[in-house]
Amino acid sequence: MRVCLISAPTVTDFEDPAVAEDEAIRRVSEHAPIGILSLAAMLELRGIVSHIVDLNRLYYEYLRSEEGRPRGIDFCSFVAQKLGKPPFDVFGFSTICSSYPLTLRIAEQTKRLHPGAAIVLGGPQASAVDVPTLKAFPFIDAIVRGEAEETLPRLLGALPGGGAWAEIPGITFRQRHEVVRNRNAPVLSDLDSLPMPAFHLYPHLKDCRYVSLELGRGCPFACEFCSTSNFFGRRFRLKSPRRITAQMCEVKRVYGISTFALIHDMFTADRERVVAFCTALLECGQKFRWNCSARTDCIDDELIALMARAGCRAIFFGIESGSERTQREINKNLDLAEAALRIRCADKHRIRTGVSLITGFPKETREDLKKTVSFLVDSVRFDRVEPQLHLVAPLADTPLYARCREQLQLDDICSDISYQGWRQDPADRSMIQRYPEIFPNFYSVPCPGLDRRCLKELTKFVLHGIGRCRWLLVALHQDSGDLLAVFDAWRTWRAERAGNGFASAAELSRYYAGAAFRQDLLEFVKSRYLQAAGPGNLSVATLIELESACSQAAEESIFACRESAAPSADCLPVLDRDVVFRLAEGVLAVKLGADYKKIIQCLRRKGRLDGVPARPVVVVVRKTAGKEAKVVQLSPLSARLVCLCDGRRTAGQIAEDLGTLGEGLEGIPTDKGCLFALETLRRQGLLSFAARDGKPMHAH
Amino acid sequence: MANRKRKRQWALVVIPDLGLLPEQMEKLKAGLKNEFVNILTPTGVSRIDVDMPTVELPPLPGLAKLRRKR
Repeated sequence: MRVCLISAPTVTDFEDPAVAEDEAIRRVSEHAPIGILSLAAMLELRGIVSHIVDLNRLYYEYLRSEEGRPRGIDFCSFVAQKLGKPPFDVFGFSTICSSYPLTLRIAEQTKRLHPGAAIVLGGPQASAVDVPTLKAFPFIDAIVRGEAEETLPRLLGALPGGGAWAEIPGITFRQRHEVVRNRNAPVLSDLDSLPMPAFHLYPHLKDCRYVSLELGRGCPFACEFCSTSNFFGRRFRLKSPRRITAQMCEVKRVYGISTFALIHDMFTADRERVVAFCTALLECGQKFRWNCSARTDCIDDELIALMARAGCRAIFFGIESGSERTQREINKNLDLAEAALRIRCADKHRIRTGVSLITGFPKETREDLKKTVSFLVDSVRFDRVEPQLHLVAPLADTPLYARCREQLQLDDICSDISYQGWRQDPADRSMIQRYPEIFPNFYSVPCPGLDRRCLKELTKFVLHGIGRCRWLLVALHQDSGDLLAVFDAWRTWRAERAGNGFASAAELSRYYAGAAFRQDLLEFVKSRYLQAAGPGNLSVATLIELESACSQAAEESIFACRESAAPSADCLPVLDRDVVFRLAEGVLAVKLGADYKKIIQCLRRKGRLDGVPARPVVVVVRKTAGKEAKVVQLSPLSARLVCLCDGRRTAGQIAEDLGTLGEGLEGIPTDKGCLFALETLRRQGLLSFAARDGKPMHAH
Repeated sequence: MANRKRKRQWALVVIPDLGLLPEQMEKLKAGLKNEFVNILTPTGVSRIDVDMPTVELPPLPGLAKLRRKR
């Protein structure tokens, strides 16, 4: 039997090749599709070698293809043609909610080109909407519900003729014109019995930056918006530490990859097993980096410390709401004070955390929203927090969907609670409109207490604001006590300047993602926010000074270099008075009116901003290799020197000026002390030097 | 280990002899002690949207892989 297993695409939202090819997108798109590779391994045990098709990779091939886009061939046709070589008996499609319309269209074209082959769906979305899918789309032959490792081989074994399908638990299929839904298959109890995913069938693995491995399945919790417990059940199961570490070691040995995304929605529910896993990792003699998901009430400081030692570098925390009332409403029931402590602890152990919040729940009020925004902004006081703020979506077969199914709304305000799926082909849109019960995640739930368009804008304002001016947003929140009120004022200010609203959600997104937003935000704070008196305004004004200087410097391409010149340990060739010093490439010096370091300390600790003294300081912003820059507050002596290094003064002139100022050189010969100090700052990467004629000098 | 190695290399670097006394050099070094405060995105382009200036908010690089996929 010839079987082709096809992954669910996630990168197909990105129509623009320049965007799809971007580093950030490729990082999350190019990884081995663990679900179908696990199934392929099970089939291999039964002598069936599967052909693996990664639709993300195929999408990249399509974008780069000469014969693809220019001739107007759509992605579905492109895939269907590719899938036909060599001919297969079965096409098995993995499905997730955001790309379900696309998967179905590909499946339809595949069936059209290969009418003799069986089309089988599996995965979370098809499992949740199996019956309506089979009723609506006759080209689908069967759906494997839930965990498919046992079910799919049985289905394939019974395929010729399909006569024995009625005996196979866990499948839904069409018999004549009726849809038959067999009883559920039992979940796998011994996950250690599963073979290693068939990575050898995935030729791109060597190009992946990380490998996903499954830690276990099943979540004992029942959050209202979440579909996990429906798919994997509520019975919590984990692979043994020995099994997981052995798989990690094997991947490292064979493919040289030591970074892992360890998949389980609730890995830390069983503390003892997590301790055993971390201990096994520490004892295996190999170094790994890994990330996982956890609830903040199923993890403690001691465990976080152990996980960090064992190589944990990132944890996803689904906090969902900053409101205790909403926590109860959605059946999440986290203790928010405890959640904040766990985030702080993870940061202390240098673990990055994805702090994810959701808004737009049916009974959410402005007060709830205010608390959610407050929790999110408070969390970014920790450097390693990466905030997420999503609009809720009614995922199929969730309690939230069941509660709201009669009131769903379809508009252009798409949720991104799962993968995005915001770009819909007209054919997708038509399917979504026609079958709300199959594609409910593209709809929205009513939220009478809040304006959803405004919520969408709020998510952009908060996330892009934090992304661009993190500490300014924190300061605005702390100074005002309510970032939501600042957002309202911002919208009013913007409407006065640019008219009311955006023509579409896409236009809104483009604006907030663009450079104009930052400029406007700085202008708003200067011209509107700071007009209202407030005790913390000196701090806000200081942050604006720095952001504005950075903004100006960016326009002048000061940060255009890849990174600031690396500090050199070489000695000056001629340590004399004629050398001209200036700021090193990629370094910006800014004079500020208040102690920047104290402001940031206050913001980190939620201290009183009105206690920050007005004191002139100089900070330097020094570009790092990434997209960021380090901010260093200079000592008074360093500040004096740096300000004198204007690219015109020679070391001798600087020494004279410094001597006149009488700064920090008491008892030290000014010339010698100044040269020593300049060279020290050069070695800190802040200064560079040149001969008096302006030519750069190379140290020997 | 790498950090220790770097520190050792740093310690080996000697600024040319300017005839300063050790205590004078120590005093200067203390006076030149600058303090790291934080990380900024100086170009105004955030980690979130740096790679995609004109489209919907993408998954956060790095942690995006931790997001739910259903």
